[in-house]
Amino acid sequence: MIEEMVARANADPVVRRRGNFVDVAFGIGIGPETWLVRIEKGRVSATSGGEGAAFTLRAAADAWADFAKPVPPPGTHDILALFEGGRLDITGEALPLMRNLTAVKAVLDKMRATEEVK
Amino acid sequence: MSETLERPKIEPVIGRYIHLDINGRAYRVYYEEAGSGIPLLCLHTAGADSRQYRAVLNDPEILKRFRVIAFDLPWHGRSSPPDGWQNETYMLTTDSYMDTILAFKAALGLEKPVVMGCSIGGRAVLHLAIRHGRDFRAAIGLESHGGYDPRMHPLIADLGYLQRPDVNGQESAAATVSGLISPTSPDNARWETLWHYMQGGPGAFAGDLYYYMVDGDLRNGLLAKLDTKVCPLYLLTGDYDYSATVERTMEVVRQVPGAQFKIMPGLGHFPMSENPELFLGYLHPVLEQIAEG
Repeated sequence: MIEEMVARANADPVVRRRGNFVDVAFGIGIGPETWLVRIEKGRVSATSGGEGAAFTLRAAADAWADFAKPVPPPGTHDILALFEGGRLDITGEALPLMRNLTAVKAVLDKMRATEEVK
Repeated sequence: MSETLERPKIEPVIGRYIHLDINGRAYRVYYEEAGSGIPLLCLHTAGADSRQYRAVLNDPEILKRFRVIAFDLPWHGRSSPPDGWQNETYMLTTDSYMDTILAFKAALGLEKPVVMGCSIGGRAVLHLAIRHGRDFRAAIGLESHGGYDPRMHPLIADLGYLQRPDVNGQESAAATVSGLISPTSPDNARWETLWHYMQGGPGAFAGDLYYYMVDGDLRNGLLAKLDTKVCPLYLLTGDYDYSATVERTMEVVRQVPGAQFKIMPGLGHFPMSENPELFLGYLHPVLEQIAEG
């Protein structure tokens, strides 16, 4: 899921543009598993493990699976929706998340397979 | 070649400015209108402006029977903040919101208009029906609810981060609300809705949320005073709205006998602007009922 997301994000010039001035490393927790995702000058990379994350978005595997559906069900369609519904936790600092929210959301949207890369 | 000779497409919407005195202070307020008949006064969401009602203002079916009017709240859209704004923090309260709507209604001489509002506007129609029900023919609440305690981190909840010099307020305001839009809404309407948020003046969105989250909270028993025999209430809520959820609208319905409620599958927090075509399908029967009633 994460490797595909990274590949799709790096292939999309729109994501590259949104992340152009971004330099943030954040965690994605999928159940017990944690990934460290870095967005730096529009390039996205991911490694296993959450060390060095400014903030971490953690949800159960089924919540991320719903999020990644082409048409996610209500309440699972956005990280803040998952958070408000109690299905996702945000730990760490809130400011880097909100500061970089445009780019973070653009990258996370790439968990969803689309027919074509824009 | 023939394309250039076609008549230009000009919308029936007319925009004007009106000068209002609201509690002794002067405001220059922008509004748009189209159509004729029963006045339909439209209230936009927090941090946005009347452009959200573009589709309603252009719908031939509605314009046959309704005079649709949408204004920008002061500090929003083309309604400037009042003189001296640079030294103030904008805070929308229940009283200031009601006073603004009533001043606008009086200045235009609107007789018993239908009032329709979304989000903060959806709350405002409840307050109007409670306090001034006899002055309105009906109230339509889009994404209406009485209030809730968000799970949000305090930094996020009061939107204070939007005004930090190390945050791009325009981009972050749009990213903050983007998840309130249904994933099935068309890209053009989604991004136009977000553009409105990107254009909000500093502090406007946050000041509106003071009414939405704090001062305008209706979990205080006041909904019991809303008499739908005096002012019929129609509620429409999209199932992708995680702020004004269907369940939170249901809490209003449970407290207001006679309120009519319909869930709008596939819509989020900005139904009239995020997917106009789908929304109009839900709005037409409501307006039909009001016009016939």
